[in-house]
Amino acid sequence: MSNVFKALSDPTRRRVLELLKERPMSAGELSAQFNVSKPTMSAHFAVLREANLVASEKHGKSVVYQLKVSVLEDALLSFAQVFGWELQNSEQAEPQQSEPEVFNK
Amino acid sequence: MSSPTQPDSIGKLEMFGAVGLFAILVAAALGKEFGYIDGYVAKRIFGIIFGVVLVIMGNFLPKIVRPLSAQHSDPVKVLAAERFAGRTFVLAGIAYISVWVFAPPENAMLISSLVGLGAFALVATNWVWLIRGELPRNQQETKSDKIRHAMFQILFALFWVFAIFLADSLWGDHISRPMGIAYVFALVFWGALSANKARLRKRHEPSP
Repeated sequence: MSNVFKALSDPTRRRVLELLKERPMSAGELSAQFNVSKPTMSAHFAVLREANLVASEKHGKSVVYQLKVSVLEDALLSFAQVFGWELQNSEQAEPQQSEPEVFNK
Repeated sequence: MSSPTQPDSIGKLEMFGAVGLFAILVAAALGKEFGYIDGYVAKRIFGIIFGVVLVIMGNFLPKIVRPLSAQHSDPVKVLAAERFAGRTFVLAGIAYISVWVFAPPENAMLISSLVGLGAFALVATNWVWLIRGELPRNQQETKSDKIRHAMFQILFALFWVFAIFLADSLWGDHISRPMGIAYVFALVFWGALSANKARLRKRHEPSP
């Protein structure tokens, strides 16, 4: 559960989850919505995967994400969005040597 | 083509939780049988447990997703329908528990049954409305399908329990008891359908 709180504490990751509520999207489509570097987006995706809030599949050369939240997690997401919930320490996603995402659209 | 992330599996916590709930049901039944607890108290315990199960099933239903390659041609509709179903079951489950905790015993069974059956009717209507005409793109069974099948069986059992409670409230034992027996036949029929589906799927699988 701590992974879920960590994942929901960042506004970028919350926005990713809101976008995935509309439909499954590729890593490239999601990254295009944000003005952050690709390594940073990769780190955000890794945090979301670790929290088991998204499912990822490789479709050819791209990775497609779909939402995987329970009703309780959805409620926590809405709560965090309304109250602008953010962690204030260094637990934010940092670019790490994680598996590289393929950002093809 | 695709390599989905590890599908959800039923962990030890979930197993212990399920065993614990079942143990409480058995304890309540035995307590009523041997006179340790009142019949109404036993019914309240059963009702609360069924409500808890409905809440749990509703909470996790949207989380057990199928890989995109195995979903309907429009996964957006399926995911929206499942999110609606999850929220409806959670809210209905909370309402169901509340009825059994606060309502007078003589009314609790009827009101709670209507709440439970109403939730199923709402979910089924929404599902049919959203999914109408859509068929699965790929009939191949995935690992998450097994968990989903188990969840659907539990939800089907809850639906039948609510229907039996309603029948018992309106018409008494002579209707509700045959319905309990009919559930066994319904399970056998479901099992036969699933086995036939698996056999057909195997027959149509491409040979190596």
